[in-house]
Amino acid sequence: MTDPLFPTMDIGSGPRDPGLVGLLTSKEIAPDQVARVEAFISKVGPGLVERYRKLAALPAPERKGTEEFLTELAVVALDRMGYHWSFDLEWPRTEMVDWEAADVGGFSKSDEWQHSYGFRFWKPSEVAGEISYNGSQRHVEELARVSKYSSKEVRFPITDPHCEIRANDNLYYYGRALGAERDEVLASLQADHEATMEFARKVSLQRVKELSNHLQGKTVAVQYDNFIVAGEEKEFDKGLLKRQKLDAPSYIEALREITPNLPNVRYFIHNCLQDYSLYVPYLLEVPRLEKFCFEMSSHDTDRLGTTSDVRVGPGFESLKAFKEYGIRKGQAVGVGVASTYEGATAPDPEIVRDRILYAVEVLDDPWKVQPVLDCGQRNLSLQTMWEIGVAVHKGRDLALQAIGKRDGIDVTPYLTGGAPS
Amino acid sequence: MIQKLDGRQSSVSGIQLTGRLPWDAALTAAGRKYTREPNDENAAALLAERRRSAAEDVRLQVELGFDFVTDGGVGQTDLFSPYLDAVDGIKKGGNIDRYPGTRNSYYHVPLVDGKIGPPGATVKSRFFLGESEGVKKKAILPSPVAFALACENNHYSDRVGIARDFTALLGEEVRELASEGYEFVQLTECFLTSPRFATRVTKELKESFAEALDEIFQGYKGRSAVYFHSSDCSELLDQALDSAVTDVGFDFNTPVTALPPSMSKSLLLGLQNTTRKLPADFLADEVEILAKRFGDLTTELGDWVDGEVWLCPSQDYDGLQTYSQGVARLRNLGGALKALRGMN
Repeated sequence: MTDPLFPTMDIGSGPRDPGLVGLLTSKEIAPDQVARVEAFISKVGPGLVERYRKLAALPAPERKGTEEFLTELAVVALDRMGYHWSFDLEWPRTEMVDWEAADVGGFSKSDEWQHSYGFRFWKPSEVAGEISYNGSQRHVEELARVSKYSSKEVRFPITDPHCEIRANDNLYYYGRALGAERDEVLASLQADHEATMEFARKVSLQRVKELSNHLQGKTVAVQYDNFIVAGEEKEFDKGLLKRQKLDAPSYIEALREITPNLPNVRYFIHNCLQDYSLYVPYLLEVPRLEKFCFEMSSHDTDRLGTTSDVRVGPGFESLKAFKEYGIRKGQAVGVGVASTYEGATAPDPEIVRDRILYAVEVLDDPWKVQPVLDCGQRNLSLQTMWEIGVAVHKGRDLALQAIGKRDGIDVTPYLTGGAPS
Repeated sequence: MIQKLDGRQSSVSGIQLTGRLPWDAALTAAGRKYTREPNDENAAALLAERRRSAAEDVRLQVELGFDFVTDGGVGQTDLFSPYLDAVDGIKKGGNIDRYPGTRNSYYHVPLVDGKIGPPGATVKSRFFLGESEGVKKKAILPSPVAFALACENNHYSDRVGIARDFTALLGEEVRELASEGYEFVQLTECFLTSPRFATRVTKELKESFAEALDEIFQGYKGRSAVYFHSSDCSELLDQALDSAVTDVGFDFNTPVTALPPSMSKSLLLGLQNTTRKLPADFLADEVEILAKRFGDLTTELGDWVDGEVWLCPSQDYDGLQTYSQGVARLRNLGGALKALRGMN
């Protein structure tokens, strides 16, 4: 599959504005929330304002077709901003790992809060029994909804099995491993490996096969998301891998399992939270993985420039490993060109341009670079999401023009064209 | 205090925390409410909950036989949070990052955008042991090198400079804590030997570590510790042992055989692995496991350690445990102390 030069991609969940996601709950939508959402919809899809207004005004039990509406709005918004792929901005979901308590045997939801960071807390699931798959149709339904409104290729987010196991509390398999292995570090690694592979085979693989059966001739880009793996130092420790008799870390083993050769299915991955260099050498060897999308801007400077003293941080550092270990034909690195953390604001287009051009410099090939966002925008406002979208596409066009001039390529067909301002 | 345990010789000086306790439901609710609406009323409610929770944490530690008690870390959400926007030159960065070696525990990345100044009011008021009487107070602070490695640097020419100025700030904090009757101050270091931070570690930064410890505790009459967790700190032990601190500690990632054949400092052994929750069956067995593990290791140590040997959790319970499991595991630590002292 050939994508255009510098195809852009929004990487994760959209802003969780209560005026939007509140439509799915029993809460009333306050007038100021309605006004804020209307202002956003007016920019991205004015034709949807009236439907939103009606939905928001209805008492919660009478709201019908909300998931359809949120999906259509997401597809329209991404298209308007110029992104190359469509998805539903995960608005109809609550969080990455939330479905599992309902869809996966062995998972149960904790009723206690656990601290995450700052004053943020969450309720992790517990793996309390053997993993099995209940055969949920949620993914198929989501694909159908997005496909209905999108004329573009659908990018379908699936939480990676490695992340599912480590973000939650893998008690069942850890207990089994502790019974057989005295060394807690080794038992911990073995338990997570076993559960990851079980989840990969019994759940993730089934999900992707189900999706492939419902494509109706279209192509889907499955994106496996993982926000845990970059910090799992022990999994990449060669001595510990040897003691576990593993050739590769379980993240990699699982990826191999869940990327089967299926017609019209492409595979991307997204990781965040920084340093990816530990596993790049393994990652490049996984067959059929096309795109590696990483957070890079969050630790970068906001200075202009295309040199390594300006483009800094563990993300951009990791980029060099792709060059060192040899990125294959058909593979590309998704370079996070805009930070999406809480409080983030839109970067200057010229910064976006320079981040793209620096990546081209490092990888020595513009076709191996894909501008993406660092991560999901769930902690940002709808207005900021819009401003980031505008800046990214202006910056991307500036980079295209620079590359066109440098290499003597006519980049006109690839320009966003009509990007909003 | 030498005891026999299943034929093994063991000597336990006591138990103490090396990190934060998890927040209970009421404190969590107050924190969440404050996040949604950060107004004066919710700030006051959060402060009241912090005081209540600290008192609860102290009561629990006293009940379980802790000699030095902390406030459970209720005044901070991570190791660095008290300094963000409270000290000249240190702002709350936009990013979060993950503690090395933990499954799902994060911190707000400090953004250094100017010369680091003295501790501000928020830093000074973050500990909640002011009203606790009749207890030996312990405070836990970040190591200056951990701070220097974790932050985003938009000001200093290198991270050694950050560590140097943060060292001065910590020295002032320690003097303040001494004046408030704190008898034990621990510095936590979990970044310096982490593979994730290897590219930020320079020879100069590593070599500045012991000097920084000396400066921070200069003139401090209480007990002082440097505590390492999350990766093998063997290569740093010589520096730590040569420094002015009275106690050195590390978790299960560092082999006790890395210690020199004799050492006069006291030792904090983080043998209770708090990096993940325990299944229920093993929770029930943990007292016995901990006591046996401690006995085995102190037997292995033999006469190497002239000072005291303490049994500790490997790091925070917060972020890695829910409240109920955190308390259960804290009680197991207390149970292990009793077992080692032959009180069962």
